[in-house]
Amino acid sequence: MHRQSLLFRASLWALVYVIAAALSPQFASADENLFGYSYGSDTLPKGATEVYNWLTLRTGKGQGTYRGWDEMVEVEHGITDRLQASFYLKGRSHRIAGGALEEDPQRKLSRSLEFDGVNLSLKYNLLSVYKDVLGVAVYLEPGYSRIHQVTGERIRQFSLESKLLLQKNFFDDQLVTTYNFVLEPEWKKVKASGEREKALEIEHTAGISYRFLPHWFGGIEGRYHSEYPEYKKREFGAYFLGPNIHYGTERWWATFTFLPQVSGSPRTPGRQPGLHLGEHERYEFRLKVAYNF
Amino acid sequence: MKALIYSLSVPVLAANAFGAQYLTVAQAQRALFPAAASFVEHKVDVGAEQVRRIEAQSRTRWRLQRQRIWAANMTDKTLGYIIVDEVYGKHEFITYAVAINLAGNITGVEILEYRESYGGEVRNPQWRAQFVGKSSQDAVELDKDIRNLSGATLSCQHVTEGIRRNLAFFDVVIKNK
Repeated sequence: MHRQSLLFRASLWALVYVIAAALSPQFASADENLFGYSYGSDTLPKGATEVYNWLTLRTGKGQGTYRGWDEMVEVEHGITDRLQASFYLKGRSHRIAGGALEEDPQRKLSRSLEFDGVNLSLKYNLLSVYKDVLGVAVYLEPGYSRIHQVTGERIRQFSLESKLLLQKNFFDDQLVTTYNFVLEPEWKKVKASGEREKALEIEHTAGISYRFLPHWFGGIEGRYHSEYPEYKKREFGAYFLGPNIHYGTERWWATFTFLPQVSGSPRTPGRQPGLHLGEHERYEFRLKVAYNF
Repeated sequence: MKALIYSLSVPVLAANAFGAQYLTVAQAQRALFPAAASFVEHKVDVGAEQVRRIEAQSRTRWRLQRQRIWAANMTDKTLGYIIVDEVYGKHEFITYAVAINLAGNITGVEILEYRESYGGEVRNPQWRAQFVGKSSQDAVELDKDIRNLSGATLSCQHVTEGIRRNLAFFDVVIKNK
């Protein structure tokens, strides 16, 4: 297990070095993420490339110990001024103890960072947020995952995330607002049990951020996430709301978001009141750091 | 925690030159009015009524109480004025200078400082040349009489709006002085 973790880390480093070396000096910062979860409608200019690292911590099940770390390295490239493509290499680690999982209280897991899967994405800008009444983009992201996000179980999961991205700016683009509508069908097989599932995830995210100083944006973002097994009845849904902060320079940028769950259903009895802690956690923290070469 | 350390330790490779200061004010003055013998600085106060008129005419926001301008003089006459202004870039301000003759027509535009990661194509001489001859009577609007540079839309839009605002400033404040 330790060897796998080292191999995964080495491959991430190798990927970043190889791509950076291959594309330098064309690296440029663009399509900056002001938010941890909500996307803007901007795309990279043609020929520009950006590499960045996502790190998400999901923690708090209202009982026991639960920490899920999601690690992702993304390489993004502008194919045209309106179309960009990304490749993602994903890793995941878990610490589960003390009856944290509602549906499997006996489960204990302590696993360091391991390779989880890969995603590809395409984003196409339809209307420019700087010229048109509204910035509009569409987004498609097929993905493969081999570690269950909540339980850490070995799985084979294929997903196809599609997004409608809207952005409206105010006051000389100093105030940025976004809204995303996300549909994501997924097909999953749990290796140990052989159980197969298919589900549809529906998500709404929105954010507002203001440039309060040169280089600095601060704001709030919200997220609603729900899942419909077999594309039928909703199994759960949870609302998150929290602050974000962004710092950007010409060579690098970083965004940090803290997103606590504020409401969810079905409620998890005997734990945090008013929240759904089965498939979601009490808190999510996300850090994105992008470097330009 | 290891993952957090890892996240922050993505290697930083050799950085290339990005934006920079391309011209000082003095260099921009020489480039814009090469025949001038001297440049005299004026700090021009802009009153509330003038701000209202500038904003109405230019359809942009006016942010300053006082604008710095330089009169480009020959021995016995003024050739025109240079206005040095800043507009919002993605992270920092883009500093540019616009030269306007006494008739109110633009004679040149120079980008002094550009410190953004991309969009620096606004320094392109052909793009800047589109503004030459424009006055407050012209639209000076992206995709109308000013061509956009794809991939540099934010910079094009903000520089264009800044120049339109300063044409209105010239019209409302300088011309009537």
